[in-house]
Amino acid sequence: MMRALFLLLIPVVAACNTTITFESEVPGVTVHAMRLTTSHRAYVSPESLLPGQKSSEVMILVDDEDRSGRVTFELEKDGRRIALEVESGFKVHGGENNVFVLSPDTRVRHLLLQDTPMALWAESR
Amino acid sequence: MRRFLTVFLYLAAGCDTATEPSTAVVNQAPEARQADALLLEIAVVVEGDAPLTLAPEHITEVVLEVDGAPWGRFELDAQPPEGDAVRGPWRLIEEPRGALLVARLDRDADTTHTPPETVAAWLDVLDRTLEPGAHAARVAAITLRGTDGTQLVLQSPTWVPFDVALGAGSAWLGALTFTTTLAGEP
Repeated sequence: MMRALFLLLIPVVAACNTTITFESEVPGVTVHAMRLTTSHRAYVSPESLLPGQKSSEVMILVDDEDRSGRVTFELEKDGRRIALEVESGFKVHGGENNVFVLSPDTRVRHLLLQDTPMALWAESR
Repeated sequence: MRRFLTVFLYLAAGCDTATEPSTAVVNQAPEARQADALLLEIAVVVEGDAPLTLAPEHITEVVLEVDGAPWGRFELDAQPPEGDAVRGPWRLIEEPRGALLVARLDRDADTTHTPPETVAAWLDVLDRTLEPGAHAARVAAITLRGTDGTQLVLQSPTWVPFDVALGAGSAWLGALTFTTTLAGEP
């Protein structure tokens, strides 16, 4: 009896899992380090995404369910990268696989991560 | 005969050492490469009976334009030189010395007057390069910052011609000298 109940519970618990999948629809670039950051933690895409590619599902913990987070990523084209943040927050709905799709029309802003100065110094003449 | 042919085919297949390319771009011809960096040296000379050069540490930001379009806003950061004369919030040096700026189109550069708002617009920024041939650049603004936070912006209307060589990834703009009176100094 207990065993049957346990077997019954497994799919029920599995169905309650909250996950997120990242997807890129941006042609011609690779998307790196795509992540959803909530006030508690960051959920990072395990893979860099080529155009049309989806990441593996990333498990969302219970305390982040039904909360909004910000999505950040890096675009890479021909070895040149730029770090961007999606303008609107992304809300994670509990008990389902949430899919964040990055498209060319997604509104973004610059992350301003420049820690390294662009200048070198030299003696002249 | 048939067995011999089978063995021959097996050996022939074994000789094929071709491997899958590891990247999408397997052969990039030099002429396909385009410049995405400008190199220039900037010195600021202070007018006076004995002209002195402003210590490069005071140059904090440079805005460049190329072919009439924004190329980037580049921040500079340098250690102050030692033993210089001081005039108000400005340190001056006798020997001409400038700041070498490597102005590369990258995430560090603010490449437009107003930041792009969509992923597609940012892709256009990543796509920007200079084709081989003649171009013109302008140092649209140089921001100088004194030791007390005083800020002075120099602007230049002059366009500087330069060439991008075939296959080069960068171009040398030259050693540019700007003159100022340090308006506002005591």
